Amino acid sequence: MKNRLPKIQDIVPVYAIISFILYGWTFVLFFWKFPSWLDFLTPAEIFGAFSYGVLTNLIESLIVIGGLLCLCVLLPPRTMRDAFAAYGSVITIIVLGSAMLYQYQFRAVRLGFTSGIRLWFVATVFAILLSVFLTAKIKILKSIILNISDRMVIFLYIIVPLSIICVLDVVVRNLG
Amino acid sequence: MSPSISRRELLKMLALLSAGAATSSWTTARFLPAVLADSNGKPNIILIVTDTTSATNLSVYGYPRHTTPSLEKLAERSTVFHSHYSGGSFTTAGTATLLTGLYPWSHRAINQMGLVDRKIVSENMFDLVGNGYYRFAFTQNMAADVLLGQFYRDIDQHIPTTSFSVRPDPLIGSRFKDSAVAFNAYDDFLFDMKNDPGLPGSLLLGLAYKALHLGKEESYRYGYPAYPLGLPIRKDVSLAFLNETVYDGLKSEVGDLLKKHSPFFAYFHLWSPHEPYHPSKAFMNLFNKDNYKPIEKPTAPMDQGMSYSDLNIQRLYYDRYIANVDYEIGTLLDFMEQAGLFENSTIIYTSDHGQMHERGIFGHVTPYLYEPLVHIPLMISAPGQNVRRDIYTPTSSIDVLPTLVNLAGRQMPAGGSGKILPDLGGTEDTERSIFSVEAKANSAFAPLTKTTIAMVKGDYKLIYYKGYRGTDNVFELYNLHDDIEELQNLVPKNPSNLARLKEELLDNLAQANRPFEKK
Repeated sequence: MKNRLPKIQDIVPVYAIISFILYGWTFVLFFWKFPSWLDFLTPAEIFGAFSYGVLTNLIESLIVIGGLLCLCVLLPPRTMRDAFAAYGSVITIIVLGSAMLYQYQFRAVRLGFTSGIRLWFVATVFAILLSVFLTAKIKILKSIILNISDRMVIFLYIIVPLSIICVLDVVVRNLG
Repeated sequence: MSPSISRRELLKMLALLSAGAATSSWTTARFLPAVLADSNGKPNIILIVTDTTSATNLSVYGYPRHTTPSLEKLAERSTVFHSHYSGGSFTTAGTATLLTGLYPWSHRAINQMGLVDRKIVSENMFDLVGNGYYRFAFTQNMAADVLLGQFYRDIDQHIPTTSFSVRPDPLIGSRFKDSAVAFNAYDDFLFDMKNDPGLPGSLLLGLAYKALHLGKEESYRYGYPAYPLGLPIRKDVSLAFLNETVYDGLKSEVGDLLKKHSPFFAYFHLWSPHEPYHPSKAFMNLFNKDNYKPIEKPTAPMDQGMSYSDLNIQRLYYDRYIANVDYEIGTLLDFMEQAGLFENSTIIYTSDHGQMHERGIFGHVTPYLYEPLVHIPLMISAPGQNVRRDIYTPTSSIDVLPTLVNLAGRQMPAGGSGKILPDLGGTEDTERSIFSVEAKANSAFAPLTKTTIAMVKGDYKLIYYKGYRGTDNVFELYNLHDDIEELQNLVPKNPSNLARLKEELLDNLAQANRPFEKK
């Protein structure tokens, strides 16, 4: 089982990409709300809301990396494990990118949100297969993706300590 | 036989009467909770708010369709305010006005799902009624629940907005002990399903949550024979409920409050008759072919393009839904009657704003402030009151808070414009100006430059539109005494009145804008 999992140095860049996108999305929307909250909430309440956001990002990011690791376990090693950094990054970009597009597409529309979700799912799976195929075939593309994911690791130096602080904040808030 | 009663017989009768009276008071006492007997003299206060209820559609206020038999019964033992106005035209602005006793241009909850200015959060209805009361709050409306979230420090018991729903799964924020902050984080940010900005703060779990709830929304449409149009639903969180279950829940809460806490202040804010109008089967055929034909009014320049006949269909369903809600209110009032609450409680019935079915406009998301949108019901039954009193001078929802504070034996802080309501400690003031403010497209942190303001003074109502494309710096003036339907714009005909009222309205607006102008 352990042999079916990729090396830790391959997992970290993929987790960095996942975190960058998920935390980044939340941070952008948080700062969109922030000026308004300054007038309506106390700084402690705003930080509390931020902490819940970071906690949620942590859970989401663990779900995504967990899903990718499950794929590694299920698929033959050559298909996924041996190129985990590249394929994992590509899959992450496609899945989270398409989630962003879907959210944006239905940001003000309720009708069609649920009926369109199957088509979106199929399109996303197709996009994943295509992008993984292209990454395998085009070396320069693979190299670009590996470079990007490697550079994203730096954000983990901010994201990981921040997550720890925020999780502690949520725990303390809910102890009383 | 002599008809006169001897002294001995009279004494016997008096003795029997006294025994009867003692037995009867013992019987009453047996069925009343012990805490009532220990009550410190303050009346309980029960504030019932039904969302989106226009006084113009209630038969208790003279509407031709008999929509509110239960409220008519309540009116017989209440003070009925005939010219009562909401401070805003949608939930956030209207409810914040009710709960803070301030106009929207002061409390600043002027945007959809907006919040009250942090500087005035501590001066809310729950704080001002005081901790001498056990303070209970429940609202089915998320926009109002967000406001309650701001006042959580002053509320002793707050039950989740999803209570009494078909699937009463609490919203995410309610699952935490730190629910007030968690609520802001999850239900107003991370898992936000509303249209502004329409993007949940959590990319993946937010998407899953939205898909799950909207999927459920579909399932509420069919398969409920008692609700031919589908279950009543709160579209903002895709939660369905049955009105009878909600009102049964309220009865149960009132029963608990009565048993455990005295005196108590209960705030109930119910979603129905908010659209979509889903009356139960028993009310689906009401007013069929009743020949009632509302006056056809000219289409407003910023209308939604709805035809007169389509609006009348919506109005018919609204009226049926009001009758349905009125029936449920009746069951709640009957319960209160049986529990003896009318004897020792002040019972208040009102709404947060009205609803429009005219001039090409449906609903309440509109820049207009015509009567159907801002003329709301207000009835107050004082402890032991058994006669009806009618007040015709204009009053505002900013007056409810000072009245409650006065009832609670406390003082209002300085600075508010609200007054104690006539007949409940206050006096009638015919020279007073009442305002309603609509500014949902304006920034809450900037002077009001895109806004509609209505000012009612005596018989006159002046409406000011500012900053709308094609409708900027426009005034309308109506004499409500002669023209309640607001059909005759008196601007060209009554320049002297217009100038006087215009000056007052613009002065008030300038004063409200001053703190937000750049130095």
